[in-house]
Amino acid sequence: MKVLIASVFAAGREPTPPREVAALAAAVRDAGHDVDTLVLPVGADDARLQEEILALRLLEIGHASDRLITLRFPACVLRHPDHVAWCLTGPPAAPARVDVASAHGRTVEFAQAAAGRALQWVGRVYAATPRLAALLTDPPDVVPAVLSLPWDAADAPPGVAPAGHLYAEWPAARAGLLCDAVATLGAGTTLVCAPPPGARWREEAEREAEAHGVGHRVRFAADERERREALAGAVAAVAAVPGDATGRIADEAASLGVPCVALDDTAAADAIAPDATGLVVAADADALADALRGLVASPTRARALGGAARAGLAARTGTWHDVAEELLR
Amino acid sequence: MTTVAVVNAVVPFLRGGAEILSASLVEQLRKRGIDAFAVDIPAAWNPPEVLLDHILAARLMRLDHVDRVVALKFPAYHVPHDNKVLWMLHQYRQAYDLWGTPLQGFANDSWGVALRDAVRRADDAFLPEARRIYTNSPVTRDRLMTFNGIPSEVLYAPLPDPDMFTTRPPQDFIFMPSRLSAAKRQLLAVEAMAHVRSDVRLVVAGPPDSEHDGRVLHEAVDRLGLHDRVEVHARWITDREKADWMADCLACAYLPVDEDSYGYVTLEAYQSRKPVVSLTDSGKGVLALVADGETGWVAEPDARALGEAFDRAAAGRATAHDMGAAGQDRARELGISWDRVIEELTR
Repeated sequence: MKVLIASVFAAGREPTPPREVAALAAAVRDAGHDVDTLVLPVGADDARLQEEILALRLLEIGHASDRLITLRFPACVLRHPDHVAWCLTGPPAAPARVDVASAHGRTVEFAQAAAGRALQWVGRVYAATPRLAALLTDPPDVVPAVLSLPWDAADAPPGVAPAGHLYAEWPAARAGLLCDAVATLGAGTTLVCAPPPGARWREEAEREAEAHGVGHRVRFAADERERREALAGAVAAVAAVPGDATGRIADEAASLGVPCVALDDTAAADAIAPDATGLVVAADADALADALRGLVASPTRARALGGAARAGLAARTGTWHDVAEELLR
Repeated sequence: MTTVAVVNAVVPFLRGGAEILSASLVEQLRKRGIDAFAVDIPAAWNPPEVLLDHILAARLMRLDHVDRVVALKFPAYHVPHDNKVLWMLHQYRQAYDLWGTPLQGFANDSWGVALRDAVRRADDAFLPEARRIYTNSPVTRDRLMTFNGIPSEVLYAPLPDPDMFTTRPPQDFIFMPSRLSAAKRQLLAVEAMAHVRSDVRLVVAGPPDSEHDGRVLHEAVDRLGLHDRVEVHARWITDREKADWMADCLACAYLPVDEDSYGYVTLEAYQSRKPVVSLTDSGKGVLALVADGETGWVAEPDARALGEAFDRAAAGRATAHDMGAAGQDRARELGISWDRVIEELTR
């Protein structure tokens, strides 16, 4: 079977192809199928979401493949006669949470409606997390099954020893909250962030950290290797990106035995058994700072939480082989 | 300049010269410290009215967070960007020089004319948005000027990995690597073998554009009883396989219909010090490199004449290496190098 895997990426703000596209393509290929991938550009925020949805909807891609598997939103609006949508991300926050009279609100409402409408025509719909499945259950006749993103347990890169720093993916929409929390920790506690996808993005983030008085305590990994090492050696990973419905940072941290501290409105919170495999806190700087302070002060407790997260990871997320089998059936 | 998006139009599961060029350009930019990545936008021409949908889709896409866009093919090259440079490999030729020919591709009625004109108007309106326009051959440059009145500069595409190609003493076969497609005329090459008098063989290799494109070649081999003279490998061949066949062959055949550029096959053959067999209507780009009796053989586009050219290649085995080397000298004279390409596309 010719299988086309399609997704989107924030051009200029993240590497391409996204890791999950390459991993799924490899698993589908291992299952004996012919695979191609398509990763289309979208903006880093939802300012032009309506145009992007329309652009994807216009594209004629059905003739070249037997099956289309779509991943991140809004790839699910692509048209294909044999379409399986594995939604790793969804439309922005539900209309109930934004002012629908605003331009942003109308965009969100349109995106929700477009996703719901498009998914009605899709053969099967999966969501990567229960939180995402709930978001996509509109209209009610689309009921996505939950199919988790796999993450295999891995050893820390050679030479990486536990250090006193924290790790995070830079939460552009919540940079202030994260910086304020870091500012209240001891001066020796630093924050290492995933590498910025572009110089402009990095400059913006550095300005933001500087403005909150922690510019000297925040640094960005130079590349993927350094990012991985930074995560592996961290006391804890912080999940603060509100639009990330996959909770991927919690799973990657767990794969390395690092505990995750997640704000309670992130999908990472769903992947954590509070106080057993990580910590879940309210989305404010004080709560986050308290949780982080406790782990920095007690590395033994941090390691215990990380170890428990790692032990439960495989059973919770399955393997790429399992995912491919489900999406290809 | 820190971030460059190389924008190309692709058809899923099809890989040809443009896809190789896009990947090579990204790699060469990265080698020079530039954060480059490919953006592939799907293209489709069937049914023809989807052309307009795809133009509109390209216009709706944004690449706001990249410093420069280098766009290669229709309709992806219509993606808007304030700092866009075109390295034009193809316009939609069915709306231009192929209009009124058997390769026109859509109806020659008022509806077809409207569609053709819409494609042309899109090019007229949106191509001048680019800061600079380069074309991959004099043919592409001349077409753009003739039909759209838009000036451009020729920037030849180098081989992705020239060091991959080597040379060995010629064996008794002519190698014809390419996508299997009517536009590349593998069928004519197979039919020519029925007229060949020498002991030269033909090896055809490449992925078929469609099941039909592979089947007609096998049927022709059956019909003409050429099983011991012609091999058809209707599949994707690896770079290693291609380089090995190139190194061992007597000559390469490259027979496109009015190709815009010189064609990678031509440059690869010369890099392997092999002469090239081509046709008088294969295009100015190809014929800028393939000179009859000097760097290869150029035949009229019919099976008998092509068969005679194959025989001439067989008879010229002793000088094949020198002719291939002369072809490489000719390519060098045209200034084909990645340093020049990157300098132009990023300035």
